[in-house]
Amino acid sequence: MTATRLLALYPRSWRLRYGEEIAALLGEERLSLSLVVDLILGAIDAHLHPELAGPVLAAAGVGTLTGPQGRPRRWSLVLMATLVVVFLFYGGLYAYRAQTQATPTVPLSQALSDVQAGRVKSVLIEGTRATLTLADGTIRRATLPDREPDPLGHATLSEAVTAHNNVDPVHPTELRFGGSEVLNPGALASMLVAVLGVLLPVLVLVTLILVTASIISRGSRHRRYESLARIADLRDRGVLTDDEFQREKRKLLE
Amino acid sequence: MTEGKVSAEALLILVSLAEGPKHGYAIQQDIEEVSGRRLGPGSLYGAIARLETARYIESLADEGPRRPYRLTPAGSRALSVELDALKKVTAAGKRRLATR
Repeated sequence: MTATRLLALYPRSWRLRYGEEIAALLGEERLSLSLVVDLILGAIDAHLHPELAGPVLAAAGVGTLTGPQGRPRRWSLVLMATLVVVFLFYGGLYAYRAQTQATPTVPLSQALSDVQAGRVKSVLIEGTRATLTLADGTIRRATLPDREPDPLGHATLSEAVTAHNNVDPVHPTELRFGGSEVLNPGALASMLVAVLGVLLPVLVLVTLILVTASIISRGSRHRRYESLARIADLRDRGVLTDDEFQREKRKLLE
Repeated sequence: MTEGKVSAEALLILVSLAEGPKHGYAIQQDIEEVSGRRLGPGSLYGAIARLETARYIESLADEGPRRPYRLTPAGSRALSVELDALKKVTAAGKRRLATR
């Protein structure tokens, strides 16, 4: 993919005015990170300031003003939104990984003493992995010595739970055996909350910026085009001379 | 761009065009030579659009992708004002460095 493709991110009026020149500047240059950042920032800037590409309209004549301007613009906004979603996805992935890594892994002996001391609310054993939910809500992982046939780890931990439940039936430890990668609902929920907590503000901010930009540009353009149509009509009816019309038009498009 | 406020990129473009009309690629090359800074196409044309809107520069006859730009009289004035302001800043900076 060449960098020229990224020009699609720019609003149509910008591409009409500067597209060819920027494409010539890019040539067949390959995408580099700095180039991508430069063009994305440039495109966002162009969407926020569509009036800067104004002079092209004067140069291109009124004909292009009434052309179908909405579709390509919306299309490039969709492209930008897609890019944003991709960035957010990676952000989310990062947050998710950070969250799962935050669960500390403790030695098996520590897990056993926690169970014996009655500090553990539930134990989930999945293959060689044990997930302990403590009474205060914290989650710990422990690695069991080997796969199931080995009685050492698997049996000792579940035996310790059974032993504890016999001694202290008032605060029993729940023991479950799970499939290989089953997440317990509590951990899943807290992970989702963490991910949403990271994503939501960013998402809201980005949406706000995009919506504001499109409203501002559409509003001001529509107003200008309406005024243009009005003065064009005045010229057609002979109220304005051609010179006056040109002057007014230039004023409007500045 | 409001009158008298010129971004760093815009200043470099004005300096480049003070030599004579140039198209985008020539501006980019010249700026890199003069300042050691390479302006990406996005920032280059962002600044060009602002300068054009402010009427500090104007494009010469439509020559497609190699459209040259030149400094307008208003652009020369703005550049001169900016350079004077920079000169003051430079002088103050050097003076203060010397008395440290």
